[in-house]
Amino acid sequence: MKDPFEEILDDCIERLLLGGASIEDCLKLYPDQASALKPILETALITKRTTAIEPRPEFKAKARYQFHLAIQDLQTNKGRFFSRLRLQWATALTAVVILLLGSSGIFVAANNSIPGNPLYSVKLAIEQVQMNLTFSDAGKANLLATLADRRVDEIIQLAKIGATDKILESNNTLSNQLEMITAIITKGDNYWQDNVLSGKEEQAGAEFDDQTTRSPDAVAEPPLVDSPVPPVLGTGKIDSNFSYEDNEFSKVITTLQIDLAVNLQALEELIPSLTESVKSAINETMITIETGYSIAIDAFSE
Amino acid sequence: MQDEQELVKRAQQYNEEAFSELYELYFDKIYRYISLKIGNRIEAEDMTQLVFIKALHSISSFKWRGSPFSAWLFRIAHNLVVDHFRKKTREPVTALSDTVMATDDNPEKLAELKIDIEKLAMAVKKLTPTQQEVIALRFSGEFPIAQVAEIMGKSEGAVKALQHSAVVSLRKILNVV
Repeated sequence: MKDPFEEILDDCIERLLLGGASIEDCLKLYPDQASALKPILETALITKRTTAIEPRPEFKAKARYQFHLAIQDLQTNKGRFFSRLRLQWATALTAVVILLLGSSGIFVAANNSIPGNPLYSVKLAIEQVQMNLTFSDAGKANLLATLADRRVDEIIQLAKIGATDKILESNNTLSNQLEMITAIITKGDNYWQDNVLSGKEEQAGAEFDDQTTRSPDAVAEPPLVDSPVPPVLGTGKIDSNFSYEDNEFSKVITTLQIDLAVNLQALEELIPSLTESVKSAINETMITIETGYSIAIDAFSE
Repeated sequence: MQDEQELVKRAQQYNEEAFSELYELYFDKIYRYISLKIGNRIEAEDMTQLVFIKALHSISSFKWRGSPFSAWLFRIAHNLVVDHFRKKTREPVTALSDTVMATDDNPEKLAELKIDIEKLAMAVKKLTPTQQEVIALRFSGEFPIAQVAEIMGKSEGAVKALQHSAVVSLRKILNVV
């Protein structure tokens, strides 16, 4: 049942907010309610005045520019699955791996497999090829971000079938891969080249192998997000001298920021339907996501 | 609504002009909504950008089910705000009142406004979450009551009652602050 006073109050607030009316105008319309309305409308007017906060023009201009870059990048990448591979010979080698597998059916099945599935090792092999053939640090970080995101997808699938042990294993791999992103970001632009390509490959390769051979990853796919949006989102630190062209890591940061929000939301939505043991494993995953992604994101702005 | 539906349809086909139009239409409102809820300028700026980037990447999944596009967009903003408070790793560093721009008003008025903004931000934090949501959507987002009801998934009557109680509570709190 409608409360007449709430109806009147709402009508007056509507007039104040959108119609440009004054408090006196409203009180004249409802003289019987004037004494009760007046103090509430005064507060409403203060609220209106103080909530009319405009974004800083320089922030707005910068945000608009970044948004346009993101749109353009999305347009460029739309529907271009294989063209996203930056190294053509990486594509070729991956294709060879596929041929060696015998048929594309196996490839697809491997792509859809989750930890515990016999084809899971095939996924890891293809992922290994992709990772080894990505040479730039930003490219590796971007690929790792994609793989980490896929790991969360796999964890969601595992949660639905109640595979707690596998969730915990995948969570470890997820944590390791997020740490690797942080390591790449903090060690500088040539970290991977310095370690992998210039004679230190055994050490660096071993580090990576350790992650991937235990990781329940999907088929290595190029990074999903390539938008050159700068590292300002969610960091609280805006670098006014940031150069979009020069810093490929900004793409990774954008990917991580989006994945952080989306993955947490996805897991949160999942929790009510889970048993206690699976819920506990998912909570652990959420902690990994919160800390792992945030540390990687923050590492970039430091 | 029809125009907006067409606009969203074009944006889903990656039409830059349509995207831009939606962006201009809602940017300030989203910023004000987030600002009021978290009370921190830098975080609000970052989060506003994130809302639109997220919307850009997931607009293809948006489907018209009777709710306006703005409801979807504000849902993204709402989720990010919730996530922000769940993380709560950073304390506010830049007061909301710092966003107030110097205008032709005299310095005294400007100072008063800054104080009012800080007072309001503090007062809003003392409201219940649903009251905060109504204030943020109604006053910062400037949405009509019907749209606030859609975004919040409540009846118009319930939102009007919340609006009433929220403003009354604000008055009490502001008189004390």
